Amino acid sequence: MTDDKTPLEHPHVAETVEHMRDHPDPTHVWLADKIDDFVRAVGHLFCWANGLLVAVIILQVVLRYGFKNGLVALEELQWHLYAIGVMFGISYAQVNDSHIRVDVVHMRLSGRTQRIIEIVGILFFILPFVWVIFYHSLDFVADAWRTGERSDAPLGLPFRWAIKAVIPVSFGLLGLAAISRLIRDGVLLARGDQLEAR
Amino acid sequence: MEINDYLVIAMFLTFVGFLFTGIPVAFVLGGIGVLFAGVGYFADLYLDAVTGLDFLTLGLVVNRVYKIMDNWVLVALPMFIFMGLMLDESGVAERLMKSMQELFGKVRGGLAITVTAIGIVLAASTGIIGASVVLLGLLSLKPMLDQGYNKALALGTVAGAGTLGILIPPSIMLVIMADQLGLSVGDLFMGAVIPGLLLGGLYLVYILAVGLFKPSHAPLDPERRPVQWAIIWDVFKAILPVLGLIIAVLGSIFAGITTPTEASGVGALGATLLAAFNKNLNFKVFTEVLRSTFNTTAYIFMIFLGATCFALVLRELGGDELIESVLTGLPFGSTGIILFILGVVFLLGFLLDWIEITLIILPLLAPVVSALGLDIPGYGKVDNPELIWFVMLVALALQTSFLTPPVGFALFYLKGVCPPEVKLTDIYKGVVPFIILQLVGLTIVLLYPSLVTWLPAVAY
Repeated sequence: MTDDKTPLEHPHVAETVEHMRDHPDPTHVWLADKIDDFVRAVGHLFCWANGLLVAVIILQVVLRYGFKNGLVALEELQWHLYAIGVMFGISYAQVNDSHIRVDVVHMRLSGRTQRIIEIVGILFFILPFVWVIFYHSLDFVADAWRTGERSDAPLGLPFRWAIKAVIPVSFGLLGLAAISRLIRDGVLLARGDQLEAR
Repeated sequence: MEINDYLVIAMFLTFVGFLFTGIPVAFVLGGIGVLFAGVGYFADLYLDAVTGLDFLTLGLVVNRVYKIMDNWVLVALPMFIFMGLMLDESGVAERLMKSMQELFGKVRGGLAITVTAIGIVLAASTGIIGASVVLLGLLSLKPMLDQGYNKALALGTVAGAGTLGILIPPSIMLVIMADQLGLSVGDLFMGAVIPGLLLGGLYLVYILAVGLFKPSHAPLDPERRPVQWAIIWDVFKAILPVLGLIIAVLGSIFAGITTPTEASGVGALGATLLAAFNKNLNFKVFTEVLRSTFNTTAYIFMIFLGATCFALVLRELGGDELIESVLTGLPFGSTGIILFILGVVFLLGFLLDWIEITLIILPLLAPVVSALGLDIPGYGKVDNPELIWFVMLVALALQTSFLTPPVGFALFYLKGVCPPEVKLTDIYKGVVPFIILQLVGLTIVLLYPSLVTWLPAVAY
């Protein structure tokens, strides 16, 4: 087969997959839009944690195999960066509506029913769960702060409270993202418009 | 049955019920965990149950969340996802497609073989089934249909080759399974090599056989050129960088030189360099891959977080023992129990992604399988050979269910990239032979466990 017969276009896989999985709401509600924009902006900042993680791993590999001298701090930095990337991602995935759903039944429901389900889900599942983790993690962080907890390794990273504080902050953001969705669905349901828009 | 057993059953039923509402799975898990902690608390007070659950116990979830963050093995996960997404964008697949098409132009079914081969080589890019099916579909469906391929064959090939990736290492599913079951990532990767190649081989044999017996289903390219050294050289040039990258990543893990985490970071850098080398890297692509990695990692991990809450409460209610006693009480014998479990996994695979199954179901099943006392050859060198074998069987059962109509995940993504004239029934027809091949592969691995455990045993 010659090249000119079927020119192969570059497949933008990541984009296509997201387009198929995610259903960002096309409707606009002022406050919810603002909150979503904020959560997205935070996400666009923290997504660089994974880029940094690549760099740190490479640096560690070079030091360890090139100079026979790995650093404990770098090793610990790896899971710190990974944890930051993961935990801040969950609110980003929430505003993009990427969290996995079983949509066999869901996709056949009317827009109105879907919004009601969404509200029920946020009120009775997401928010209680977020609250439990948020509330208990405050103590968890405070303990680490009070005892000045640090890495067990002498050359490891100090300030364990800082990485532990990622839990309440990221779950706070997740709560915020969920509330934004709650506002959006609530307002649209009350207005009664664009119910079939999804 | 005690009151606790009823609570466990109620918890599972509530979970399944709310799953169908379409509320995100992770939040159903987390929310039900919280809800049943409350139920357990009141059962303690008023129903004389012994659950010991209250709001304070629920706080243990935070420790478990932190355990997920403070985890060396899982650091490899975003890195492998980054590597896969970057490879998809790197243009490697297009180059492979172009050059291999020419090489196999003289063989009937050559295009389909090309697709399968790319599926095997780029299996690295997955565990994210969506990505590989979309990639292969976008690249190859149009050329295959233009060349007059039978629709069903073309579609089946894409769906089958696209799901190969969840088994063939470096698969992120295997990383998560290793973490959940306390197995070595290297052992699992190595154990998956032969079953993965076996499946790929079965696919290739089937495609060749179709070309032989039903030539009209896989016509030859009318403009094919004779194979020349130049063409072989082209294929070599296209395949060498990506194959080199994958061999470097896997090889350094297998040889015990690096940890999977380090290898995954090197793989991520390698994929980026490949993209740059193919002139497909710019700032926009890089940030797109970063954001996509961020998003994908997050929805996988949200299920970790929800499942850990669910599992904590389930354990407190005595769910672990209940499941163990039910399964070991089945009147089937040990092989029967394995088959039963695989059947359940297959059925669950219709509804749930591998992520949920790996995180909720596998940890509950592993102790049962370990306790069966199966005689799986570990050659004295592999730890937990029975679990490694079992994980491969589960992986194969999952792959099969992703291909199986009406709700297989691979089919959903495939439909999304099909030209409009392709009907859903074409897809269903196309995957049937591949489902049969999957079942053949599954049976072979079931009968000959040493296919899984032999490689990790000789490698050390």
